[in-house]
Amino acid sequence: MHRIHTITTYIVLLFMLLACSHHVENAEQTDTLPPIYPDYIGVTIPCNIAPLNFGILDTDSTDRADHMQVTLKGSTGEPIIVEGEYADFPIDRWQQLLRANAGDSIMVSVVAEVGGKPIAYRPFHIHISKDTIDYGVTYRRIAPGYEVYSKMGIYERSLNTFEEKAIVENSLITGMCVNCHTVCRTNPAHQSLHIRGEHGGTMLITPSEGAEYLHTKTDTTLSQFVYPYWHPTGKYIAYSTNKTKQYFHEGRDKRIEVADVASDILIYSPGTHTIITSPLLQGDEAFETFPAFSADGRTLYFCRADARSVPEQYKDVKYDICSIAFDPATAQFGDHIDTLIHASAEGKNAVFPRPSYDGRYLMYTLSDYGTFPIWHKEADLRMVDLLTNEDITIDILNSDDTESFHNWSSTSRWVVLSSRRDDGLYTRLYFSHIDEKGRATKPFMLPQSNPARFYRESIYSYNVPDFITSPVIVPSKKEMKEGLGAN
Amino acid sequence: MTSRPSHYIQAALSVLFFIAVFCFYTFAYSGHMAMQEQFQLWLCTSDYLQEHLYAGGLIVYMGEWVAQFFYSPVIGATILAAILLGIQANTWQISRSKNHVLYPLSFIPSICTLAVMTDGNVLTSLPVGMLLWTSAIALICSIRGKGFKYACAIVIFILLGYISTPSQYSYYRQAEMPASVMLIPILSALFTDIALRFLPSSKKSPAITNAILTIVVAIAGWASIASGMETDEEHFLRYDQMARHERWDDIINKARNEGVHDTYSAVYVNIALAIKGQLADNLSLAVAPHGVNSLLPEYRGEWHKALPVAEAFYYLGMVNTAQRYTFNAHEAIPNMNKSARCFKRLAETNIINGHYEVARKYLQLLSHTLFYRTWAEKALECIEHRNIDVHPMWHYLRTVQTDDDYLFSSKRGVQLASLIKANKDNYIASQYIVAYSSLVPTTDRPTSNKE
Repeated sequence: MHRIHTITTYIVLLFMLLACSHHVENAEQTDTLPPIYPDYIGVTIPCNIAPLNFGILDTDSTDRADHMQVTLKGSTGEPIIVEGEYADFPIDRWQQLLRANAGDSIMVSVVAEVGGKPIAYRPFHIHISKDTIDYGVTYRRIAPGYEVYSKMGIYERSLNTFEEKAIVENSLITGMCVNCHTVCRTNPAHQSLHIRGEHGGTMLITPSEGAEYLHTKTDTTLSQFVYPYWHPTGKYIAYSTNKTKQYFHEGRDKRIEVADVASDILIYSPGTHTIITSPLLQGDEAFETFPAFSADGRTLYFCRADARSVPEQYKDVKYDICSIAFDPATAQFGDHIDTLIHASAEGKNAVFPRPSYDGRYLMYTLSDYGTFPIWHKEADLRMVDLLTNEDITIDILNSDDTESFHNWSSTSRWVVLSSRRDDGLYTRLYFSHIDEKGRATKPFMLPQSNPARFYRESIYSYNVPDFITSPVIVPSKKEMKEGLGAN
Repeated sequence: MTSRPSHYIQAALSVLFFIAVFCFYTFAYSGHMAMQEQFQLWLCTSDYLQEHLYAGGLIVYMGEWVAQFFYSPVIGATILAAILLGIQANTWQISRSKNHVLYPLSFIPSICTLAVMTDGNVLTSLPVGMLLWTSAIALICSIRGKGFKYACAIVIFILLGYISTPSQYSYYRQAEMPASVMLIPILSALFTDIALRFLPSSKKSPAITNAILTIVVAIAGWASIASGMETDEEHFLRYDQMARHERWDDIINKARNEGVHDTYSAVYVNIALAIKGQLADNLSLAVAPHGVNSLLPEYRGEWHKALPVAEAFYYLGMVNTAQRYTFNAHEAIPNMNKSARCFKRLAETNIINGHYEVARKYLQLLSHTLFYRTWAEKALECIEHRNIDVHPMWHYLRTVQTDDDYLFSSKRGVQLASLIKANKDNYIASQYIVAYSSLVPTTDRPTSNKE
């Protein structure tokens, strides 16, 4: 009797197993590439990136595959075969395969059942660079709203796993806003973070001073410190000071215009608690903003536009990318300004200068006008070779929609860029490889465990991304509240 | 053993209480009940459940699950009446009182809970939590055998502690919850239980004592509920509820019968009048007493008052501005919830503007809800087939929307002039111009675009 019971149990289990497994069989071969989401076809990825899980979406981006079978195969290493509603690669085997095929590529074969019809798509390749990517990225996650914001915060995301954790959220103090979290050349030992609101201030973290909380509006500055950039030594940090206003479009294709009515640039020295200014960066006749130090720290790049009356002439505010010498030994600015990208001469607008940390390239955002290209669909990324002053073509990074903020990895071989190409409103992060000759590769979207569900349902934008070489350490919530006088 | 007459009296009191609560939420406080539903987004997905798997998270999940039914006032009032009756029944059962004269006292915790719930910021998780705890204690009390009873009590209390531990926003929409929100229902339950257990039974004329207690509890209960009621806010929320369901005639009738108490209510009344083509003939109803702000309101930062502002601009054809204020209303929800109502409107503004991928995101979220699924699926079909004009309001708003881009002006005359300039057939804007002109000097009338 006991044996009969055992055998019955095994038979039932076997049937259950058979019922659970679902193979895609008798698939129709097609020469078309699979309509995968996110589009990872032909991308170049670092050999230490998290699995590029993906799903199948039909042309209207709504119907997911009922079932799919995906095979990853490299020239060496163990192939990976996964089955399910979407391709969910085991992280350990994925990373083994990537390490085994670094400098080569893997072939991805997709067989999927869409609407009950099994289809074997044309295989595609994913190229694996030997250049590793940094530990992670930081970003602000916020709804792309207008004057009011709900849940928001600064987060860090590990790039070789799917783990995300909050650095600081606005639930810390009721009604507060956090922005512009910046580290020094991807090293989070130096950090700058603005907290706005009733108990606002700038939290500055340096190895020598620890955390300090600054109220940065002075009698001689236009506003609190705004857009930051660390000097490579960590001894200085450049900020803009901006009087910024928001305006709203009534036409159907634009939403928001953010414009400065005045702006200047200064440098703050955390060690001496002093502000360093130059009359060349403080004039009323021009708007100066978005500072960025060169790789050697001897030049400060920034954006400069002739002052205009805003909002009446908001479309005439067109920034050029300029530079001024800076001597870190004496903390002295040079005596003249040079123009690196004279975009206004061509009726265009260049903002967000970001020099690569190897000193070779400078990437920036080109749009029609204004200080906030995230709301400009025409905004694209451009790059200039700092050795030759020649433009480098990086069209592969751009789309019909907005490309905006961007940053370099510590090795200067990867860039992270924010783009609205996914749906036209919600900003997502993409990564691209830039080789030593400045050749960019097709960007790939920040991997997620179940990307179709994650990105389709996420109602947050990713702002101001930056690479980090190690996890970010910030004071405890209690210490932060005390530092800001919010207890 | 309950005697048959007292059994009937108890049943009658319970039925009366159920009816009273039902009527309260149907006729006196339906606006507040609707507000609970519209500033949340309960999703029937495993992800949404997982998001609430933390200490105190599941009570929010359960409260939101219940509150989604408030979309229908009748169902909502029935559920709330049933929950409060359940708390009362548990209170009576826990006390194990044989003193049936005191039965009216068992309503006190439910009445106190209802009184606390008159504060519009108290979330549905509060009565749900009370029901859970009183049910659990009643269950434990009914278990025989000491050892088993204590074991069950430990397991149930740990479980309920995990489910219902108070955390920020779990019972109250604002960051700072008044202590009374939790204390009043809990202490009332505690003291009621003590009273039911230890008050002496009246052997002389129990029926009269019972009747007196019933009257005292009813009067004191109503007094405590009435003192907490946000009457002016309820007036506004009723208009808001009717506008949301496009009950324009009901809005006009309410305004005629009960008056228009505040500017934001007046905004809804003017929209209703304009949609029905009656605004120009009824300027005395809302325009005259509440002025220009009742036509094109200025948003002054109150979190849910961005909605009437958004609605005014929506029906006027300023879709981008409506979208902006809807987004503001959504982002301003104090407990950082998402709002099904706002997502619905945002989906519509994006459809009208031709931003289908963004609209699809909101619609896909709404398709995981109970009461918005059918609408969302139909809207998704419209997007798939680019069949937008089958929806009369979307079609109308597309025809009256301006194609010229300009920055939003806070000058109302300019706004109205731009609408008529964009499309002379904008019948709502035409009536608004008449109404606006009745309030401003001739020189400020919107005859031309001044910017």
